[in-house]
Amino acid sequence: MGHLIAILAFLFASMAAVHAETEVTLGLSSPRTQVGAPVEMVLTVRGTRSAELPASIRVDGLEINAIGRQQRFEMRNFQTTSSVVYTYRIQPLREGDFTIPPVEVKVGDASLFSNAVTLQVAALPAPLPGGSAGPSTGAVDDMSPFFGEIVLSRREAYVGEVIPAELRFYFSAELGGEVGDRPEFGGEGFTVQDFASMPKREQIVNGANFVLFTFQTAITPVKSGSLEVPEAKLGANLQIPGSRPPGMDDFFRNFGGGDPFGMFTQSRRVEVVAPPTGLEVKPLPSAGKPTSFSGAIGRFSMDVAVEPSRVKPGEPVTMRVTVSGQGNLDAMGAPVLRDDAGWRTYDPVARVESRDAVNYSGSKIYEFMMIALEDQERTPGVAFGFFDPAAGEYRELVADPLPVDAPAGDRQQVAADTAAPEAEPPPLTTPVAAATPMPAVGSGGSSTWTPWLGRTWVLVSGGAIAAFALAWCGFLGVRAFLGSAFLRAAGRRRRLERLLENARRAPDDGFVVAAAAVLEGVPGGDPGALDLESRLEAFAAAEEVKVPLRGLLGRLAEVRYGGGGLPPPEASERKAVLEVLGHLVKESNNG
Amino acid sequence: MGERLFRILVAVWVLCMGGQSVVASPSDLDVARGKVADGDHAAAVPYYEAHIASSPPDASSYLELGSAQLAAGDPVGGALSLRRALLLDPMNQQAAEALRGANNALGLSSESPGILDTIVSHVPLWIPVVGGLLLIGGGVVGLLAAATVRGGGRRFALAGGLAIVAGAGCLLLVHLVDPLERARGVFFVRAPEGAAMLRTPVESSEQVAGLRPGQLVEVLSVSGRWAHGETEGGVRGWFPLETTTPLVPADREVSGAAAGEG
Repeated sequence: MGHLIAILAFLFASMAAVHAETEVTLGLSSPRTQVGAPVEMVLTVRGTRSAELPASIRVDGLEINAIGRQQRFEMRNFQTTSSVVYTYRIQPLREGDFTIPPVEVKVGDASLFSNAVTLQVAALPAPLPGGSAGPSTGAVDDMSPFFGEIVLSRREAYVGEVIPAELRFYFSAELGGEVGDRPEFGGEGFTVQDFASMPKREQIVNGANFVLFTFQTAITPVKSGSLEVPEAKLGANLQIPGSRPPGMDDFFRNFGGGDPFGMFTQSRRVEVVAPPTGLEVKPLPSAGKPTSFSGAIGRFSMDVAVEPSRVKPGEPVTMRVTVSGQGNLDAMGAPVLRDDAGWRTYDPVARVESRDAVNYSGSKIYEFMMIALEDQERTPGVAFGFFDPAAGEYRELVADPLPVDAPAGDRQQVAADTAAPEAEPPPLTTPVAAATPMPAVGSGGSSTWTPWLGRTWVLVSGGAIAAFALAWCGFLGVRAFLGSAFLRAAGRRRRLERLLENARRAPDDGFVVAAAAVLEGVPGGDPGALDLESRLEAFAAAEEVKVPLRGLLGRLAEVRYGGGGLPPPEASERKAVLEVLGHLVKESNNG
Repeated sequence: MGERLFRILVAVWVLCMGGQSVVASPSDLDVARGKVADGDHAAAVPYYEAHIASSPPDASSYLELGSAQLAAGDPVGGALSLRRALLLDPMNQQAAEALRGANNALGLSSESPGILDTIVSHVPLWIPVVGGLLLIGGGVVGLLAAATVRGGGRRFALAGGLAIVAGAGCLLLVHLVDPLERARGVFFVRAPEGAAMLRTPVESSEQVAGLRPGQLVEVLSVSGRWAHGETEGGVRGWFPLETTTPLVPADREVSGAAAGEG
């Protein structure tokens, strides 16, 4: 019956494991070693019971051989996880930094990749910063399932020197649970920087697989003497394996031994302790301290640049001093300017560009703003003093002045600027006194915020020009309309009708002249232009029209040239002439 | 007779300028100047501001205010006032020098003047405006004369066309160089601590640049209390509108009610 329950539990666990998330991690038993000293590499595939790995892993300079495979089942709170652990042995063939690339693992149809790991291989003897490539035997404490250690990069230091440190906490891979975000760490005689949490990784310790949580920080001793760095603590909620029921050991051994299902675990709040360690702190020597020393401890180089190298009178130039290296980047003071007579300099603006999480390696950039009080062709020189803890002595970096073309500005203004007492430079480093005498208000410039082309007088002027142009165009249009053929024809019509009416009302002695005036108004009717017949032909072809007109023109010639001896026309003749003229006027108006 | 004519001309000119040269509140200005004479620059600032608020814009008022603010230890406010003085009177070398000093105090590099700034600092803009209007007017007359006079109108037409083109060129030049035109939409970082230019209008967004006090930024659009702008270096991002103030006080196009008035 007991076996049946175990088998059912196993089947249930196997089904649940199918849905677990698959994860591949790669870890080393130590990230550093030396030529000829092998290390172990562990490839863990979580969330599956079978995986396909490459036949071999090849890295130039390393000999990597598979030495084992182990399958594990874990059950925590009725969630089952199946893992496959592959163990490799790495034999370093030469010194150097080697990166083992991500390993491709095929799980079913999916391809997964592990993380890459780096192995530092040193020649004999292996330089192991921190004095440890892994936990010391004593720290393991009879292979406790969890333990911690404090790793300092140096065992001896100077007051003020930044010591990178790692707080490492190891948990057996067979444990589950949660660990705290940050450890408890601190004490007297040193300061501690903020912690930087590193990604967890696998590590083999004495043949057992552990998960390593690392917190990077840096400590700075503030007094000399033997300094005891106290213990560090990290809280964790762990699932601790419990005792198995009697008679189950043989069955569990079939699934890889140990406690395959994690069924018999108990939750426990633990505090993992990294034991204290020691640090010998020496005071900084007083001999040989350069005048430019401002507290920098480490190893540094310096680079100086100026920009712009050519400015207008009174404009500032900026000297950028970059101090690069390893040391107390945060705490160290600024370089010192030398031979800065004729310059007005300001306190530099500094910023740190770090290459690590604890501001130990990187650069600190100082920007000095300077204004020439006299015409300058060279910048001030720069000196930076620091204490080199490796050599145990002070050093000084000196940069020569750089060429620059910086003419002095307004000397009165510069003098006013520099007259400010040095004791209270802020908040106005370049005071501008109230200008006297001030120009009268309204004496110059605009008196409105409106742009020039939007101002009233400009718009009014433009509108006046446009109105003038429109008016002129209107005039031209009216004139053109008035001079058109239509209006001319209308006027002619009205004139002819008026002349015809005059002829009708004319007395007998004036009838000929009035009638001739009508005839002259008809197009082509100019009596002096053609001979009589031609004119008659021009007016009309019908004889009944020509006869009255012929008589009229004859009378007209007599009036003009003959002295007027003819009698007045008779009523019938007058009527005939008026009819013909009316006909001609009508034709002319219609045409 | 000559004096009377001169007075009439002056009156016409004042009317053309909108009668804006009248000093509105001389008492505030007198008090402010008295404070400055006594060395109490900080006390003079509110009187200058009251005078400016109640008077037509005037470059010399802003210059005096800016100088008082600088002397009172407010380089940001001083720089803003001096920039406004230069907007109103680009030829005011006194304001230009004082602004250069204020920028130095703020740690801002004094930008070298471009060709447009050089033009406005040497040529009064009313000259090309008036010249352009006269050329356009004359050109219109020439064209109309060409259309009116029978025979020989081609010369009038050519001269008139050239005059109109030249006049339009003058006005276009004014439009391009007018600092008041170019300052539209430009904001001044007024917050003493500066401001952060963010990638998105969210407080937790990534910072793409830092806006230093006294820096200019062109506002491209506004969304709530956030403005999307571009620095003179070409960096674009979002920043809180309340950290800036429009360079042209009358420019409310994008500031809305959210923008403080410095």
